[in-house]
Order: sequence, then structure tokens, then C-alpha cells
Amino acid sequence: MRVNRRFLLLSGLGATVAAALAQDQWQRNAVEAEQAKLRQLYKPQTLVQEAFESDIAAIKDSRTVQHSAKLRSPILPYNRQWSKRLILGSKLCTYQYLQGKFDPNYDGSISKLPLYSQGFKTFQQVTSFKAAERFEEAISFEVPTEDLATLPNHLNNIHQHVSQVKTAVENQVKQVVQLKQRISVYYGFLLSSPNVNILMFRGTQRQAEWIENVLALQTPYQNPATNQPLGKVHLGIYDFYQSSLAKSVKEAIKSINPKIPLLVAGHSLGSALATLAAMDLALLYPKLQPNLQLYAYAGPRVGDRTFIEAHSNLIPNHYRIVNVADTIPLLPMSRQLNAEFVHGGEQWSFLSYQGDIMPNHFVETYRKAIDREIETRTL
Amino acid sequence: MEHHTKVNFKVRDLILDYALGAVIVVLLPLPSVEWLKAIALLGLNLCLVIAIAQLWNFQKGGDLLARIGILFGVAGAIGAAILGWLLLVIVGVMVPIIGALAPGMAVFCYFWGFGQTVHHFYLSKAPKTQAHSFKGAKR
Repeated sequence: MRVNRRFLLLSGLGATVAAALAQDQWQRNAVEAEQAKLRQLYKPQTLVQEAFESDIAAIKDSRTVQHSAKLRSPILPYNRQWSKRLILGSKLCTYQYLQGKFDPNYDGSISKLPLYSQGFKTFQQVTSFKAAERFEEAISFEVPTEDLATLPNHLNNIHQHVSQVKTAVENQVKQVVQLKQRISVYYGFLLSSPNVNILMFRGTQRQAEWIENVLALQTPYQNPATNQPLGKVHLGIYDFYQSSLAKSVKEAIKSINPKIPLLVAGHSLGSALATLAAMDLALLYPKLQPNLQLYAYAGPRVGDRTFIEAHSNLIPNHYRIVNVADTIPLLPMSRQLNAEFVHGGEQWSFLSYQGDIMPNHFVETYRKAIDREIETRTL
Repeated sequence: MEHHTKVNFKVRDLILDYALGAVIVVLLPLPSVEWLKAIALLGLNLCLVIAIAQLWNFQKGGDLLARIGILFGVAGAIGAAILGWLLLVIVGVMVPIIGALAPGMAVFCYFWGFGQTVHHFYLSKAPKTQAHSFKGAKR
């Protein structure tokens, strides 16, 4: 037999093809074996059961974390009359924010706002809390472009072109001449009277504030008296409170009588701010501490178990009012973020289903329910 | 220079040999040597061009159409490779083991098409006298 190049190539090809096919077959067999193994593992009934069990375990886990928090029971009973007034005050805070945002001459006085006459006339406004809004705002300026419009009448043929150019220039100028700045807005107020003082904080107004409420990281809470850490709290809200409000709140409180009750309250973000403010004040002013009462409406969870237990010890008269159809008090998503967040206070709940997330959360929904006294003590 | 017919036979054999060699390279069941295989194929491709040119005595010349024809030829070779590969992949759906030979089919089609393109390039610039003698040889 003559052995030439073609013969060698064909022999090589034959051997290679055989080897390639054998390898392919071997790989197929391996995949088959793997699949057979997986098929043995695949038991739909068990998998469904395990999924359900995992969900139930997650629910139990969340409830265990909440129930394991050792909270003090309030010394004073929940006061419906005060609660009605405080939820009205939350709405007043929102009015104050809006008035301050759109009226540059507004001085923060709540006596000019609607609802003031419904329960706040006997109070004297000590101060308003103003701070830079947490997010930048782009403000467009009107730039005079009248010169572009002055065109002789006989130039009609080019008028159309000029008109188009003018519109383009005006639009461009509006986009270019913008100023990005943080504007100062109102976050609440302090009221005093001979019998009781009120410290109020407003709720979330901006979309970005909502995103921050949901995406919560934790940071240690610093005892303002000793600078020692005391549990962990919501990073965004705590940072904001410390950098923008803590100092002015601390100063303002010095001017009120510490021997009479101080009601601290807020709705939504205001509730979280009120929780932090009450803790700061209790630690800073021991004389004021027994007179602190906290009414938190629709508030998200602010801190971990250590923080909430310490908070409960210092401010036992803490009432948390929630609409069970409101999703905001379920935030932040502690399980997904692997961060422990616990609610504090005695829970008073009601059900007012308004058909959507935000209407269920609005101050007005809470005000109507509290006015009708439908909130009940939840165990 | 040899007669065109003889050269034609030699080149055809050469292309077939290189195509078979390329198939062997691409089908070798060695793990994690894809880069080496790619380099080897590139080398074979280059050697094929040189070997064909050698059989044509590295003939100079050639018009514009012949040069453009190379581009079309290469595109055709690539197209043939894709179609060949696709054919075996489709057949492989029905006869799974055949699918493993798809890369071999692709390089075979490519080398065959590419070799023929180079061959035609040289053929198109071959001296006319040879063409006349080819007529004579036929008679």
C-alpha cells in the first residue's frame, strides 16, 4: 500500500473525527448523568413545601425580632384629644413647608396658616425649624429675549426663519441658565403654653426623600451627652437630623419650661425625626425626660432593638399610630437589607383603605380616622 | 511554466490537503487549546496562499477585477463556512452526534473556498500563450 500525504491526512482525519465524536459522546453521557441526578433531586411537592416553610420562617423571624424588643408600657394613657390636635399639627407643618417654599417673604409663623385656629390659638410659637432641603433644586431664570422680537414689518419673508431661531434660542437659554441650589425649607416648629409644650416635625414631601426612606443603611446612634454609641439607627434620617436640626432643636428647648409635658410629634418622616429628637432631648435634659410624650404617626422604623429598648426606657409614653393599610410603617426593608429595624412605642391602629399606597399614608387619612376615634390599642 | 491543466490539478489537490489538515486541527479533542488552534489555522491559511502562489511561480500582474474578485471569493468562503456549520448544526438536532463535526465542516468549506479564490486569482492573470496552448492540447 502506497503511503502518501493524502493517505496520511485521511487517516489523521478519520482518527480525529473518531476522537471528536467519542469526546462528544462522553460529554453527552456526563450531562445525561448530571441531569439524571438532578431529576432525582426534583421533587415538586417537597420544593413547594420548602418554599412555603421558608416564607413562614421569614415571617416568624420578623415577628420574633419585633416581639423580642423589651419595651416599657406607657405610664400615661393614650390621649385622644391630644392625638387629634397633634395630627392637625402635622398637617399644619406641611402647610408651613409649602408656604415657606413658594413664598420668599414667609417667616414661618403658623398663625397665618389654615387650621391654626382649630386648636393652636392658645399656644405661642417659640420658633420654627428651618434647614436646607436635602436635595438640590434646578431653578430656571427668565432671560430677557425681547430684542429678538423687534423686527421691521416689511421683512415678512425672513420673519418665519427669525421666529424659529428665536424659539430655539429662548429654549436653549432656559436650559443653560439654571441655578442648582439647596433652598431652605421649614421642618417644623416649637409651641409653648402654660400647661403643655409641643414640638412638631413635618413629613416626607419630596420623591427623593421617599427613596431614602426605603433604602436604609444603619449607623450607630451617638448619645449626645456622652458621645457613646447606643444602638443603630437609620443612616439617612439620623445624618440629616444631626446635621440640620439637632442643634436648633437643642437650643430652642432651653427656652421652654421643662416641668410641664412636652409633646413631640410628627407624621411619616416627621415621626422618625420626632423619635430621634425625643431621644436626644431625654438624654440631654434629664429634667425634661419624665415629661416627654411622643406621638408618632405613620412612621417608618428608625432603629435596631438596642436603640428602641433604650428609647422605650427613656420615653415610655410613646404612642405609635398606624393605618394598617399604610405600607410606610413597614419600611425600611430590614430583611432585604439584612439590617434589623424595630418599631417602638405602644401601637394604636386603624384601617382606612383609600385604594393606593400614598392615599393610605396621607395625613388627611390619619386625621379623619383619629377624629372619628377609630384607632384601637393593638397588642 | 507548467501547463494550466496540470497546475489546476496540483492546486486542487493542495487545497484539499490543506482543508483536511485544517479539519484535523479544529476537531482535535484537546481541552483549552482554542487559541493554539486559531493560530495554527491562521498559519495553515498563510501556508496555503504561499503554496498556491509557488505553484503559479509567484506570477506578477493581474487586473483590478482579479483583485476585487479576491474579496468576493473570501466573502464567499466565509459564507460557505457559515452555511456548512449551520447545516451540520441543524442535522445535529436530529442526529446529535453529527453536531460535533460542525466546526470541521466550517473550516473545510472555508479553506476550500479560500484556496479556490487564490487559485482563480492566479489563473486570471496567467499568460495568454498558455491559454492558446491549452486549446491545442485539447485537440
